[in-house]
Amino acid sequence: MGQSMADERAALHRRSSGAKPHRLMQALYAIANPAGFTRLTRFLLPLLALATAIAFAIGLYMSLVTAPADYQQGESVRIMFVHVPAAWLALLTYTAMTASALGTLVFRHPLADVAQKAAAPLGAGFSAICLVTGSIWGKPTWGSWWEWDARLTSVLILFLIYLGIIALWRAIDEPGKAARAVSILTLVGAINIPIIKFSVDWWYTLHQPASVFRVGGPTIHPSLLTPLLVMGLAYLLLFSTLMIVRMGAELSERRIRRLLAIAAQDATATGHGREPAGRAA
Amino acid sequence: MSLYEQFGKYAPYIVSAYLVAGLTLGAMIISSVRKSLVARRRLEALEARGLKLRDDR
Repeated sequence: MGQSMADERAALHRRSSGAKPHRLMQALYAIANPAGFTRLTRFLLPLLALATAIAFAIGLYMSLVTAPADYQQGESVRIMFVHVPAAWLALLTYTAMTASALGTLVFRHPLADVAQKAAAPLGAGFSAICLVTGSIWGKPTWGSWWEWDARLTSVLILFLIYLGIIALWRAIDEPGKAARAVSILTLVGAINIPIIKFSVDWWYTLHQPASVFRVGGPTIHPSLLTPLLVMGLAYLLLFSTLMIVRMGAELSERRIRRLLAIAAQDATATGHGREPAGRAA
Repeated sequence: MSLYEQFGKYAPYIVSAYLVAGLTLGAMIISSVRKSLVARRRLEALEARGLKLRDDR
């Protein structure tokens, strides 16, 4: 089934562009279809889950035990090890959703809207962790739980966009229509991503400027940077694992909807004395 | 000296932040696994009734 779908999409690409698809595109079509995805993830999921558990165990040990106190922030720097990776993942998730929105609207890829729907609650979770842990860090450091600072406000807006996207998915029953509406909202909301990233450079903010992903390299001492990167890896692995689980669940739900539709069709056909169309022989 | 004592006046903030992160990530894991299990069970139940998609035949 997977190979035939891949061939079909490769042929569609050939017809629409008038050219033979590149080998890389053919390989992508072969893997990136629901059946290929299910086969690949059955093998990947246990490995990813194990890697996530190991990365979190090492990351937490380094964050709470081996990392030294910061010369300015003192012990409160340990909050950074859960706060900063959450911020990175909140942005990365939205960037992935933007790519999926383009995949839905432009390329009509069969997995793009599945990925978008799976990612939104994860992005909302990471944004919530970022906001709350940032607030907890802000109280002893800035003396305030919240400031209407450009960085904080733009991350709050990101969280609200995530909630809006989740609500829109739930508000529209037909998956195709919902995917198109959500894709448009996602693309509109993408304007917030560079605003979050560069808010600390464009405006005078209480939030400190970028200290890891910046031109000229990180400004953090390796003894604090290493646990931060290990926790970042742990969050990334968790995100990948949960994406696979949620995308698998979404594909199953779509299959259930199609099966129920066939069952309803069969019931109608049987009622009118015709031969059932969807039931297996 | 325990870690909590070592963190001094910041200890309640550090514990709260790690609790919030842990509980939120835990909730994300539980809801994802639950969603996956529910979908798989429903699908198996439908397939046990003999329903199949045309692609499968």
